[in-house]
Amino acid sequence: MKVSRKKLFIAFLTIVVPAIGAILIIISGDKPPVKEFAMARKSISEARSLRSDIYSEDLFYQSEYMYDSAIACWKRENKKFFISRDFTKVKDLILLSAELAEKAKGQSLERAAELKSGLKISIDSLMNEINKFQCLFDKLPVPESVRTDNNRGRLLLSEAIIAYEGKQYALCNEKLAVSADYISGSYKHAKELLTDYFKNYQDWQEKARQNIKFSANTNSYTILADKFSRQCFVYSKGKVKYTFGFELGKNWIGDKRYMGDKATPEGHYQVIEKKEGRQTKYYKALLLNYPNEIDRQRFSKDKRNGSLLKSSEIGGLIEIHGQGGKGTDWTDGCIALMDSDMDILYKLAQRGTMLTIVGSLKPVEDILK
Amino acid sequence: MKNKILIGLTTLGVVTLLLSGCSKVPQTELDSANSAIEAAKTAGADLYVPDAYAALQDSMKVITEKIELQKTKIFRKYGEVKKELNAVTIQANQVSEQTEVRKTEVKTEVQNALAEVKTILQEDKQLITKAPRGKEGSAALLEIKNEITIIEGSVDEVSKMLEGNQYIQALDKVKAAKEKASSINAELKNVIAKYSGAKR
Repeated sequence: MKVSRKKLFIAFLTIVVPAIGAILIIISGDKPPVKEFAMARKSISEARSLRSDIYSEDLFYQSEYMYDSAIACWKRENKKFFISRDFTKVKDLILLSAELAEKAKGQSLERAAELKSGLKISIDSLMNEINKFQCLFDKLPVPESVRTDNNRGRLLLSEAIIAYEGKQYALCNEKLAVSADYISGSYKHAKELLTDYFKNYQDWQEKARQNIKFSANTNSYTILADKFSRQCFVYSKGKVKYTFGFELGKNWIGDKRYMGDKATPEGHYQVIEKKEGRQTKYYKALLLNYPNEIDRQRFSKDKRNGSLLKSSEIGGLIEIHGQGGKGTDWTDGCIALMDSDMDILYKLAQRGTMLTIVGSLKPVEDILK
Repeated sequence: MKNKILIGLTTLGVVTLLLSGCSKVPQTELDSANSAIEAAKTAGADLYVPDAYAALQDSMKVITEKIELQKTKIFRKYGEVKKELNAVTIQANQVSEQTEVRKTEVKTEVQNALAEVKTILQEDKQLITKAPRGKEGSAALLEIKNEITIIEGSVDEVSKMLEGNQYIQALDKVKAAKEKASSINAELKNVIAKYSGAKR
């Protein structure tokens, strides 16, 4: 069978020419942004290694989203007939992705550095607050829950420090926030308790002044007990002769209100009996005239207005006695001195010796400083 | 002769069409690679071996780009992509194994630390009974008892985290608990040593 030249020419036109044309169009046609993709991928990878997913979350995820969008767009373009493919949008998207990743890298470095120094400051500040809590409220009968909160905060602070040392700044930040809630909350609670207690400070000052003046005017010994500092001063002729430390009851803060509250009364009292030997189980003791007239009046008023139960009793047997030095508040409201100190005080005190008990001789502002 | 040329041109045209339109994306390999990466993530690779997991993700991105690039060509070649996909699948399976190994390591570390903390806390409680109760002592011991209670609470939380397979979070927590229990231990031993020294 012979093929004419004409048929051959037609075959050439229908197969070879379009094939060559197609090749030429593809070669000269729009190219996908391969280099830009590599660049964006590298930037995203670097941003991830700088923990941009944490420190520059928005930019990082936007960058990843733009990368995925660029791929999706590329796929869409690939589905089109090769002549009508246009990669302009793909290029725009991938360039935007790279730009966002670069920004995320910069922001991550900056924020991580900022967070690191901020965390250091927060850690130091919380440590300081813990120390202040220990110094100020160590002997304060703060509720068990407050002390527990403080200890919980301290443990969380330790966890935060471990995270900080492991360069897990975001985790450290989270733990610090919870720790700060516990530590600051417990400090605030304890401070409120203390400030509330000190509302009687002016009255304490006045009573202390009267006690010292009495010792100066009568040429006799007087005793002034400062519950907050746990110091007992023996005055003679208006001057301090002796200073003794002491211990109180568990609930020493506040004035005594009723029997069994383990509180130590505040105000002016007198020694009404000296006890030693079989008369006391606490080595030596000076019995005070609690309740005095003021205590009785207040107790009756509290019962009348319902702030105390009708069945409440006023209590008594408040003493200064020995067997102190246990290192904790253990009495039922009495003042416990070490036996050696009690020996001295016992000799100096007589029936009628004035004893003034005050909450504190220092203002709360000085204490909080 | 002319007939042969016509047949040759027709064959060339058919082959061109076949090469340009019929070379397929290695979907099976692609699916296997994606499944293997997903399995690695489910195993916790992003938490336990984050660098290896990130490398997998990067490799997959490179392959996706290569596939799309091939789609733009007349003569598509997926041979290299296929090899790379198989390599990623193997790599992802290895990452899953590494994750399990690391998980077990962390779990063991937590369990050991937890056992140590419990032992230290027991010792702390014993030491409290021997500690001096003199001046300042009793108040300090009360404070220490409170701290021990808090640490015990933290130990319970760690145990729950272990049960919930949250090993990394548990590790940080147990480290802090151990540090605190150890510092109490050292403090108590120090006080007892001083006290017994003074008694002699």
